Amino acid sequence: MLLLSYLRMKLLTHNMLTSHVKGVTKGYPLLIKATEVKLTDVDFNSEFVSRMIPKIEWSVLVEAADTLGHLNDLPRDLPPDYESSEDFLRKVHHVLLEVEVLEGNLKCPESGREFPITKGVPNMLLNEDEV
Amino acid sequence: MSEADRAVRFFCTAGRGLEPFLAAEVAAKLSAVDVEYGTGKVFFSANVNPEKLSQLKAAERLFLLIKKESPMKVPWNTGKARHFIQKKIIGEDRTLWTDTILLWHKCQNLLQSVQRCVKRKREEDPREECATKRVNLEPSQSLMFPVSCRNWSKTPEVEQQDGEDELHKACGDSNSSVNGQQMSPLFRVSCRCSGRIARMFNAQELGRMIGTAVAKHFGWKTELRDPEFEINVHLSDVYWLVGIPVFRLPLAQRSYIKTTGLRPTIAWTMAFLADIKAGSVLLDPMCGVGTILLEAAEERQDSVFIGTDISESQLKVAHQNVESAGLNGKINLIRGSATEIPLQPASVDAIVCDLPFGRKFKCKTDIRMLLPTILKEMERVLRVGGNLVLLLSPPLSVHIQKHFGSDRMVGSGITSPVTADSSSSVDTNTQAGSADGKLLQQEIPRRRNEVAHGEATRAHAEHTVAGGSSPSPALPLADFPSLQLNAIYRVSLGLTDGLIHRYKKVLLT
Repeated sequence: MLLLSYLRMKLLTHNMLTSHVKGVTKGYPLLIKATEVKLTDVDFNSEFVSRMIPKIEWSVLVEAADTLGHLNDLPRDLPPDYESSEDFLRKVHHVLLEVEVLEGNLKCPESGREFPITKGVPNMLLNEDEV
Repeated sequence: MSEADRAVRFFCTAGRGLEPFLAAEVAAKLSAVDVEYGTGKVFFSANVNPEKLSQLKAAERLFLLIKKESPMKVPWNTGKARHFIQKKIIGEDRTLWTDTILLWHKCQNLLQSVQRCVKRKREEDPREECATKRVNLEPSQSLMFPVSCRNWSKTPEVEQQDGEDELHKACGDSNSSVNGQQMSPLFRVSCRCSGRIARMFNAQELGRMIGTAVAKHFGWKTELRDPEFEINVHLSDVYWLVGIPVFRLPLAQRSYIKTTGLRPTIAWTMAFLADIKAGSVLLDPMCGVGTILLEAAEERQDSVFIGTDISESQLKVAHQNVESAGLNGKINLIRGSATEIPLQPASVDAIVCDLPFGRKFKCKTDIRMLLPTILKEMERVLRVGGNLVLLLSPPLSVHIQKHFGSDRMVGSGITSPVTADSSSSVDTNTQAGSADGKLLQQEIPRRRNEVAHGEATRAHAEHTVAGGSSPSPALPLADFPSLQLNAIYRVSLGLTDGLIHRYKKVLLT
């Protein structure tokens, strides 16, 4: 039996995705509705996580993790000295890279347009009339 | 001083236009010294460290150098010519050959021990990556030929150049002893020739000739199908080179990429030009099968790589590639269009893209009509200070400079403007610099801190574009004042050439 594994959408990806529907001024953040979520194992790199934190929208990450039911005990506010806390960085690592959405959709907060996630790949293509 | 610590002379073949990048790479990765390069070749001295050597990304193949001569005048008489060539190729110094063969053996032994280490670690903990992470040492795709196992069942990749290499049959039968060590090497000669000498002989003849001479001179045995090592002879109008390939397969053939799109050497160079720092986000908005992302992710373990493409079938192949390279954690694929990049403004640190115009793209629209939108989107999502690296066909390069150039490149070193007809490339006399893209700083003329706008730009663009392609249809002229062109490199893509454009996003005042 051939086991095919596909890429899955990570919360890190979700953190950056924006709706580009015409007329929408703020198509971010997209609301996640997941029908299939999977946990995976990714090698922990503290420096990488440390560097990514300032680049992401923290509240969006927390919200997304919560929606998927994987918030656990991740704080809603960024602690000031997060670089030095390995425990904290590991929690961030988990939520950012190890919680994956296989099936579901991403909803534009303004237009309501739903972008499907199939086999882990979000489809952000717009139709003719949406461009 | 042990063999492995001594600096040894190597040379690499490289695609035209990539030589300076390879030169910078060997200096940075191998601490190579005495780096020189010319058309298609890079010479350097470095320690014998097969793991590190196998990490070279801008090279086609790597060889231990036996001999490097300037081309010589060969007598027309076939007999005399044969004698002359044999004499010159083999030369007077026998130890030059035997020393290099020993070095080659050393290389193979080192590789074997690394392979054992990787195998053992994989058995212990399949998930844990060995320190020599990305060297693929699996027997099925072995980069090396183990000395004990004469595993030449697959012929090595044949380079597609003029004067194709050919294998010869000859016979020698005595074993010879080198340095007291019983050595009966089975070898074959692979010859490539071009220019003057190619008019006199073909590669096959030359290979045969040299093979016979080597076998006779050293008492070694030639073996067509299953040799232990190969002797490569490159005879051109620039050099006469003799070397032994360090690896069976070309370095350019990546073990970690299942299906390539763009040539990995070019993809790597583009990622290199993007100058990605730790913790960066790199985007390829037309990623196709993901070659650029794979090369970038292989090089930098500490950044995020995003690829978008409109094609489901391409993304499927990209998946497989990412999966088989084990880069699931690093590369994120999204189905989307480069005309509506689904990312926030200024959210990406670098954009690297092979613009596939003219090939497979949205067929219905005139591709060039989409160009302004795509460039605008790229400009939008790129952070200030970020780099945009594009690979373009020659006509597209001219088109972009003519219609969207917001700034002209000035200074020497790179012919400006670059047209489809010009044979410009990076100045080949530049000595390789040190790591961290320092080389680039030397070569790229530093841009003056000015911003050109609208009218002035267009007028300037019309004025400075020399010759080149015929006038294109009247397209709306757009300007992207925050994207400053700071370099154009011409590289060979095999049958055609490509132009790499590098832009930096600047803050407009």
